[in-house]
Amino acid sequence: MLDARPDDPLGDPVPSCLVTGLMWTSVTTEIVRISMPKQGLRRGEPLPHDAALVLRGDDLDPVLLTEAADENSVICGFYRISVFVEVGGFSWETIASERLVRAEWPALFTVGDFLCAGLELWDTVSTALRCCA
Amino acid sequence: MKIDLRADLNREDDDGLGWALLSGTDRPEIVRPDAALRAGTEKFWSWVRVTSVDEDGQVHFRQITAAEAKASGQLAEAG
Repeated sequence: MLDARPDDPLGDPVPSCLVTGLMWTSVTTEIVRISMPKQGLRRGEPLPHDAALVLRGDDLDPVLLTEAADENSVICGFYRISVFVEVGGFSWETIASERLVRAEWPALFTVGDFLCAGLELWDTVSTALRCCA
Repeated sequence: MKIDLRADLNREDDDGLGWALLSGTDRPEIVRPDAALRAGTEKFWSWVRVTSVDEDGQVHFRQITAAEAKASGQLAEAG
């Protein structure tokens, strides 16, 4: 976990409260800052390879990202942003079509992009994809 | 598009459910277990069914189809 705020990995100006670490999930990943969460379960998986794709549904509006990070802080005690990562045999196409089906588009990055930005990926929660429409 | 509950649909709790804060609605009286609502943002939203509301204001939900929302009888315009 880093103490310093890294450069914005997402391309747009991001408030300092947003960034410092990162985490992933069976298919969800989150950018985190300090850990002692209400939502704190980790799967204990090794970090995905650098080329694994990271997705987040919808555009990267700094206002919405700040809002999401603030809400996480209220519940979990630290700032984080959730993203999805290609792990567990799920391709980004599967994740986009089953988990982010309502998003106008997914924002795509690689695990390496996040690591190079000084962020940390945490493997959190969910176990299976669900299809919603 | 009227959003009932502002939420980041990218995130999940430890049970794989979506979640939001009760402060994300201007009608907290409608956010109760089994309620079918529109959650998300104006550009990225989904019908959801509330599964529980914690004392700290965390609202847990699962995404549902428009058909299920419509069947709930609350959303005449869901289809």
